Amino acid sequence: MKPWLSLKKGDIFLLVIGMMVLLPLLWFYFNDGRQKPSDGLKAVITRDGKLMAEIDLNSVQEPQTFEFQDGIRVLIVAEKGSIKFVEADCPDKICIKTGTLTKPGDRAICLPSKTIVKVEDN
Amino acid sequence: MILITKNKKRLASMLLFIFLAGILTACNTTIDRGNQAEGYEADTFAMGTVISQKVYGDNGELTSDQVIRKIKYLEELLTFNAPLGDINEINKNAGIKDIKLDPETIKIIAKAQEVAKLSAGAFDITVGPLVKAWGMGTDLARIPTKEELQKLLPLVDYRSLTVDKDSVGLKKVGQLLDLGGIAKGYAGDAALEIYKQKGIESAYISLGGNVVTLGSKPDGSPWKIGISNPRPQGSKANQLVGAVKVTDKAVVTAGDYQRYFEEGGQRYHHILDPTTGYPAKSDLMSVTLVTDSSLVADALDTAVFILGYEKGKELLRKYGGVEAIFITQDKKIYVTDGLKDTFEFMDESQEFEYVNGIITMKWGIQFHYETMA
Repeated sequence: MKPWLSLKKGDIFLLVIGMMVLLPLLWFYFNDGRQKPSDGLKAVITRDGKLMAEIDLNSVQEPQTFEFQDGIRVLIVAEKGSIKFVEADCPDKICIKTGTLTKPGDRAICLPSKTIVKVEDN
Repeated sequence: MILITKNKKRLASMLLFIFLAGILTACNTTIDRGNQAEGYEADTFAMGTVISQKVYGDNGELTSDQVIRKIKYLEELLTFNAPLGDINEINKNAGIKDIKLDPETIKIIAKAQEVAKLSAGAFDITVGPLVKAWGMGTDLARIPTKEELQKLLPLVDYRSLTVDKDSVGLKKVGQLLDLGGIAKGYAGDAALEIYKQKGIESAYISLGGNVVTLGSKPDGSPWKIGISNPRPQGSKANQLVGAVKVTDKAVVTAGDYQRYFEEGGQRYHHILDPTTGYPAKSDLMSVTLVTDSSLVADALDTAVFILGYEKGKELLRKYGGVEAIFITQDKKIYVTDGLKDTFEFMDESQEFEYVNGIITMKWGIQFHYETMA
């Protein structure tokens, strides 16, 4: 008598492939998308509403600096997967104290120079 | 015969594949749906902070522009230093005469007085002389002398502020109104009003520590508002102790970490106690209120912060309709009953203890625990 389901090599192969595809998806789904694959991290720098730079944070290899001199000077450094204010010629340095931005939704603001650095999904 | 069975198996494999592919696409569409309904986003510098809006719907851009115009108007009307504003007009005439005012200004001052009375002056908009002496919110922040503060304290008294139907006045010369504690709160309510007028059903606006939400997110899920860690460790930005899920609510936080300066190794935060003249020595690091009006929340959270956990909780009970998340100096987190299902404790720093409520595990499993009060 044959078993109700006899599997050939190819079928098992398909099943394994199927599971391999499905499991990470389920994992992703149950984690509420919080652990998003980080291959789409983008930083946006604006000054007084004007777009100054858009940086694909995942393709940054060597640390990249952005310096803006007009008005109050700020220095921003982007590294692989992160970006932060490093210097600012303002009294309170809140933008520097904000720290390193690493995930979508993170942002740092320098009020006196009207500079915003935001991290977004690409 | 053999051939047919073989084909059947192939068919089964193919069906399996189609099934898997189906799940895959299903997942993709749910993810896509979020992207499709992308709202209009705008960041604007006003009221000494960044105003961030996310407005969904056809009139997103126009509506958010209108909100900004309104906020800039309110800034002129309500700010301490605006020369042509209503507040400046009252302050110039303190001890001299009552001033006829814009009904909008009267509405805000009347609400402030209500909270002042209820909190017995813990929240007090006549705190202006102290704010000025400390230089709070300016580049010239400094510690005033004890004598200086003693001289100013008698001027801080909400009971000498009279509010009539269309006029407001301060009784003593030298008194100063400062709406810094609630102007952003009112601006949040005003923005909400504009969204509704323009037929917007889903929007989000944040003004410093004030967040106001209209409806739910376009996909019907609630907005998730992060609660900041008041003592972040290391250099990572945006550290949270948790998040609260809300629909149609204002989420407003007062904390000692939002604006402060340091001198002689000591931290001087921006929430001044009207009875001492110094930054409030609270047993709270922060308090977040969740309610319908961000104006009410903004006035109450200052009072709650100054009163501390026990008395603050009592004030909220008296006012009614306000839920809260308290973070105490000993790093304990308490939430009121109405938030136990919607507050998610996620403390990356592992420094805080969630004292009463429900812990939500990663996989959506919840368990309840109680700690003896």
